[in-house]
Amino acid sequence: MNRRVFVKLGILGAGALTIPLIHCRSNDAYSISLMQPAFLSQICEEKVIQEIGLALRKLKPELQKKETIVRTLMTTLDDKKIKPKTSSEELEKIMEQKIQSDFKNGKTIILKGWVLSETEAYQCALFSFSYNKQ
Amino acid sequence: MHIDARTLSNESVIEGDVCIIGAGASGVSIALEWINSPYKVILLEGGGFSYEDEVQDLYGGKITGQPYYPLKSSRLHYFGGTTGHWAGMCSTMDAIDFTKRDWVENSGWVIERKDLDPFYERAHPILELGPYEYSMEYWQKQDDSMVPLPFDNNVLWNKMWQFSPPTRFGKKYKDVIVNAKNLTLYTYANVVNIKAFDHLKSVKEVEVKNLAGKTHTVRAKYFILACNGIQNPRILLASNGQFPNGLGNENDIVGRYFMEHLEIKSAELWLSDSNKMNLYLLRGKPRAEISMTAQTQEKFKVLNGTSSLLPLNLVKEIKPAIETWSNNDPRASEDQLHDANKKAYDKKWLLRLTTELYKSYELFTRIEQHPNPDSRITLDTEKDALGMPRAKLHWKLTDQEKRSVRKLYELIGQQVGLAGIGRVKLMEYLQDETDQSWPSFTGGGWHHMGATRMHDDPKKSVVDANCRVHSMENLFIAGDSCFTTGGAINPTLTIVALSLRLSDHVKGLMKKLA
Repeated sequence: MNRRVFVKLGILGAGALTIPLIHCRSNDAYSISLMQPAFLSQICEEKVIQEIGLALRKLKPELQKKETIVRTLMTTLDDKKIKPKTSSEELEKIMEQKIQSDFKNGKTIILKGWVLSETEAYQCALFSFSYNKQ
Repeated sequence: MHIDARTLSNESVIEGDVCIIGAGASGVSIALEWINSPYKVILLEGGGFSYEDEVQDLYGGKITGQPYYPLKSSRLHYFGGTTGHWAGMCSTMDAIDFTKRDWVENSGWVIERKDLDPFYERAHPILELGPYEYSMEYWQKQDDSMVPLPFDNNVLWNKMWQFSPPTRFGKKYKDVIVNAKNLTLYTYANVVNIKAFDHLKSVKEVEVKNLAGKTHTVRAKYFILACNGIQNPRILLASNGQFPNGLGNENDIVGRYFMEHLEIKSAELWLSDSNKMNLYLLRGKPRAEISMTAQTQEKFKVLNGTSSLLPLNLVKEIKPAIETWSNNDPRASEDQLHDANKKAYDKKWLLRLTTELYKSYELFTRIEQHPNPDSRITLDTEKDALGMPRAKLHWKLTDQEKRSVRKLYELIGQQVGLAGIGRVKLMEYLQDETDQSWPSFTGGGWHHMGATRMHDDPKKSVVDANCRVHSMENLFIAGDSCFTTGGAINPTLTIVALSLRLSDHVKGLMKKLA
């Protein structure tokens, strides 16, 4: 199973993730690109991704607010804000680049045993809000 | 020639030029080197040519500290020694293993890797190994299906292993030893005491006993103690008639710095696409384990270790050795290990391993242990049937081993993440970096290293660079008890190489004497 499907189903089932408009557009594709750790969702069940996300939020209490997570995710590699007009495909590409960069620069974190890029860990944290609603 | 020491008249005196004590991988390798030499060689073996439980019981001892396999069943006590059931895994130590590493206390051999190279090569045919080649590139040329994972070579590298058939020294070399004209193998000849001349600077003779109630004396110009990593220090410590703390133990080092290789399942590798992993899997061919480069070890101040791969759904059928190797009888322990893992020894299992594609793998660690003086072998108050105090092992680990295992998998995780091919998941016992405990399935490789360690400084060691006991002019020690550090490899190839080097050295001394 291509696990990427589960987020779409989850979101559509529970209603769109309410990502603050100030940071980006609020539509399903866009939310998926932001909160779905693309690689991890190919190898993990959604429950695992949720658990990882909750573990990060427990570790960093400031991430109890999804605005904080979104703000961190919505930056480019050179720490600039991602423009609201950025397409979901482009957003996904930026996330992928950030993940690669994390691994290259040792910006990794171990959550529930998984050695993850910090960016994908934040994606998991964002996902955990959505999953809780289901 | 072969003589059963039980058949000799009691209190016989045996004399020769060189006396090799112990007929395992080390002792036999040395003995082979002396065949057809002009010297009279005595090879002493405590057991016979096959397993006998009452002889094996002489190896029994007590375990304290980190749980370990029963001492009685962790080595074999008959001609050929533990090669009677070893698995045959061979590789060389790395250059960094011999260096003084400021982040590994008590590290630093007084010889270098290049000093062992010619002896590694000579050891290869003895162990029936292939060409003396350990570069991945060489083996890839023989089999282009061996494709490495895309690691940064500055961080991780692929350490190659070769496999001995495995050579059973007891079978392979019995005839050549027994038929040698200048060499006499004495079976049922257990050394229980080493006696020095009155000046206490060299060994005069060794006392030999057997369960038939016979005691004999063996005299030689040179003695090579080649029992094993536990019996070597035990014999030195028990030789306390003239030396209250044991022979060679003026500085309280004998028995200390006992090291094992930690062998433990540690993590899972999850790939997005199936991968055959021919370079890494057990296929009856040379294979690689994932290892940390010297640069990485220095950067993160970690120990040398490797990781091997097995498909996750197949490895679930394998039980940890520490659970299955629990019987005092090594035959029963071996049976238990095979019974518990019988699926893993099945031909179908092996076929699945080599033909099917997998997305998830177990990552299994083999890692050196920090040389720790508190990890040690001492004498117990209980005595064996020959009246010799039994060995007591206190195996002790430090937090450096655990931190190193964790770092190894963080790095593998980082590298597969960077390559975009997978993710690594650490097992629960590695997840909390403040937790220093080890899980119940923590095992060792049955490798008993370090308890008569090598160094130039007698205050820090038992033997010098030539494996000579510092305080004795004519007593040498062979085997992994001389290792200063353990490296990340099974020790047999290094044991044989170091033994050949020692053999050359003693030959040189004999020539000088002549």
